[in-house]
Amino acid sequence: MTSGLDAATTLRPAGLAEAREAVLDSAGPLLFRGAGTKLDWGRPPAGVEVIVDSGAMDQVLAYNPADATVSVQAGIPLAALQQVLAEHDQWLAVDPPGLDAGITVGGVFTADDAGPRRLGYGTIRDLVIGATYVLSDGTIGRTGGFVIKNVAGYDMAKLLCGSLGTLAFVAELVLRVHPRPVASVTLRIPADAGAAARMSTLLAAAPIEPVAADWAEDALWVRLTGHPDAIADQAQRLPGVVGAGEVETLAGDAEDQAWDRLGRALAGADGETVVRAACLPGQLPDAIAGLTGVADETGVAVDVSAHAMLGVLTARLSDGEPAAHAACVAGWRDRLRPLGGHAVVHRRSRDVERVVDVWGPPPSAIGLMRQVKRRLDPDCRCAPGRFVGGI
Amino acid sequence: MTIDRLRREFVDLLGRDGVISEGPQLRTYECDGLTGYRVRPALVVLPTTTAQVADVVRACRRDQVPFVARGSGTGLSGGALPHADGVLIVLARMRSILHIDVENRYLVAEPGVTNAAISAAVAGHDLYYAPDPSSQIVCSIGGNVAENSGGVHCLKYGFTTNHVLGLEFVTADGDVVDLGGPVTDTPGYDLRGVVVGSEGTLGIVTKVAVRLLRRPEAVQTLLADFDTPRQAGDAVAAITSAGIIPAGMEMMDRLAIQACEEDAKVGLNLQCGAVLVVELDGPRAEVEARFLEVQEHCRTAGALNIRIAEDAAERALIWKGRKAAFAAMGRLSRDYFVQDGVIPRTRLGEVLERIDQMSEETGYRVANVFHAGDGNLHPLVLYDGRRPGEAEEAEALSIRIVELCVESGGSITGEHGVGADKACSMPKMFGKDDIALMERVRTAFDPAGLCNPGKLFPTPRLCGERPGPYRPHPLEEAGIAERM
Repeated sequence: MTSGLDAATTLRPAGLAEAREAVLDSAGPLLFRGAGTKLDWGRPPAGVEVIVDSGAMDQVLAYNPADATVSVQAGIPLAALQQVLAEHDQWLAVDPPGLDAGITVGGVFTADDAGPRRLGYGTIRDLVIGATYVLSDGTIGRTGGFVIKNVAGYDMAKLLCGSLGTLAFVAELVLRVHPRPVASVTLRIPADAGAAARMSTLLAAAPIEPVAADWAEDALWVRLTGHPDAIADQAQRLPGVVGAGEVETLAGDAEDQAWDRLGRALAGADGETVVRAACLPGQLPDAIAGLTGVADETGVAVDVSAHAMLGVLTARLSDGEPAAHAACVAGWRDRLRPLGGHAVVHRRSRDVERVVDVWGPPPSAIGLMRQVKRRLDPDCRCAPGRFVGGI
Repeated sequence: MTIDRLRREFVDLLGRDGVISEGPQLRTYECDGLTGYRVRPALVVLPTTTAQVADVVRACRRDQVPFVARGSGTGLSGGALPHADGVLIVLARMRSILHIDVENRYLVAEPGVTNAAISAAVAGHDLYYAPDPSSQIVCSIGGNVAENSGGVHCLKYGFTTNHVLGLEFVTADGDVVDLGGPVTDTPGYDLRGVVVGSEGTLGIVTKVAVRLLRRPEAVQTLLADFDTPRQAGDAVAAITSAGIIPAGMEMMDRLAIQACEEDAKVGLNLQCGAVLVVELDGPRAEVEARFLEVQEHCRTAGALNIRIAEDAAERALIWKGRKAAFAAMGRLSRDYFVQDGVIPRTRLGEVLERIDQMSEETGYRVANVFHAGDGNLHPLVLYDGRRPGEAEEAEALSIRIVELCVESGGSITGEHGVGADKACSMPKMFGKDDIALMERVRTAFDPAGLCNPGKLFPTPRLCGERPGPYRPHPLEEAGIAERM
């Protein structure tokens, strides 16, 4: 896809007014870019003339630690924001992959990307309390505000979150931040997919509140954060609750490195096709069996991990031709469908999108989605064709 | 003529007892919890299935007749205020819990199911539904979705939008679609996110899938008395600065304390200037450690006395007192306006002092009840509607208070919604373009503008009219909504 963008002009506005000018610079198709780590999410947009790059919009606009809110320009790298917040023992409670690749807060928002700790905190969807955005016709809109509790007007930020830049350029965001956990510990429990799902169910029924529970590398990784006494107490009870035999306890650097490695795996590597799927948590073993079965049939190597208590899976497909990857995705979808699940290709390697729809079948509300697109971007200039159903 | 034809059509569709078209019965539905606004609908229908709702909507659309959805009618912003020439679609007969999935921790309910009934249905599994608005015994989950209801525990647990997984939704065209679902991350725009809190202006929700949470292992609740609201505010600041997120943190001032005490007999100290309720929940060791810190912060801020709830019964009594605050105000004053504004919590002290000044200047008593952790204020302006001019003056004061909230960086509504009540205040908070863009979304869902017109968006006609004064709603007098 990047090759298709070579002819486009890149504009780097430094603020809201310049962002508006950039959007109005041409009448042609636009692509909004943060760190550029998710350009291969969605379908390749058609005929992009102008890339509006948020890289120069990297400022903290207002930070009120006592209110636990921060207002930022959308191009601020997540790592830079976390550094500012850490000075007051706070953080933006998201941990998507790509921190060292410079992922921006706006990029995480427009992709609604998340990491393991979405179990404890939700995704950035649940943390954005206000947004300022620029439509392709130059209209600037604000939604929400600066307070956590607010039901005035439509929550337009929900529409923008996960829209992959197909509705508007997100210029500024107001976010709720959280206190940084005082202490953290992670238990690694060896488990196959079936055992991990069983343990997750037991864990969910127990009075233990993990912030992350990932199945990866043939183990269930459970992270507990909070008061040191409290996590020690929960860590001690946990093996009994889930019926685990062998348990390894990780803390400090070893713990951070382990989660860093698991997080990186979510993003995948060059040449891999990354598929994000979801099912009910209890159906995890079926979903994984479906994937390994279809991978065998198509001759594709797969590596799969899951946010086990949420039913969110990430599969990385390697080896094999694009057609084989495509067949694997299509086959997995067939097996997820009876479970009520779905699978979306996040990282498109080697034109796999020519053979399979990265989004899968459109949802029943696709008609309403098209109407929303038509009203907010009537000339279809924002990343045309990138989204679900060719929106 | 059109309405008469629709009435006959709806009687065929819903049966004789599914349609109300006679004056006295229509009166029951002329207002919701905001009783100063009253409009008699042309027709009321009581569908029992999604298909019937869709049929009613299609018929309304065909004849270009406006329609308004209504749940239990407890809303405090007139969001379910009927349209004089329209059809009121009452969803109170759709009150089945359709599916409970304990393993995957979700439940699917029809929109008329009450908020409290959801938690009650899964209590045996140690599960519950987190948002808990004060009216939870009566209010419906469909209404909660329309208003994005919060509750006293939303500081830690979030609002309806954070707990609704999926919706079955009848569009303004009468089509039935799913928005989201029990399986997370449905591809496409998050239309569920924009429908939640849209106050019934985008379509009608006919099923709701909600996330269920495991009951926390431990809960601790305390009541701390202070001389002044400012001291209580200092305690709030100290607790939050220490990185503690209480499950609930509520404050009441002297007037509110008096009203609650007369009503619920919680044993509140009538002499103190403010009382703070702080509740922590979670794993036992976490709660125990943090609860000691909370007590220390309260003492440092000048707490006169700290009372700790000994058991679940005492905790329930404390919350009963707090949740009864609005209704209890009737013991202090014949009439009152309930306000719902939000400020950044760090502005609490100065805003309260300003409200005090405004109260003195105008001569109207203002009682304050608020969710201190998230800065959501509920000032209650007390007046006597029998005295000419008082209703208008008290309402003007109430509006000035909410404008003060916006000027302080806050919002015109934290949980009651915009509805008919605050549509004209929207321009205080949003610019013309901001509102126009919301209207574009509304048009995407409902091009003909038939779905709950006159709510949320300011219009010249609406904003030129004055509401009548407050009158008690039968629901308040009886202490319960109509139960079909």
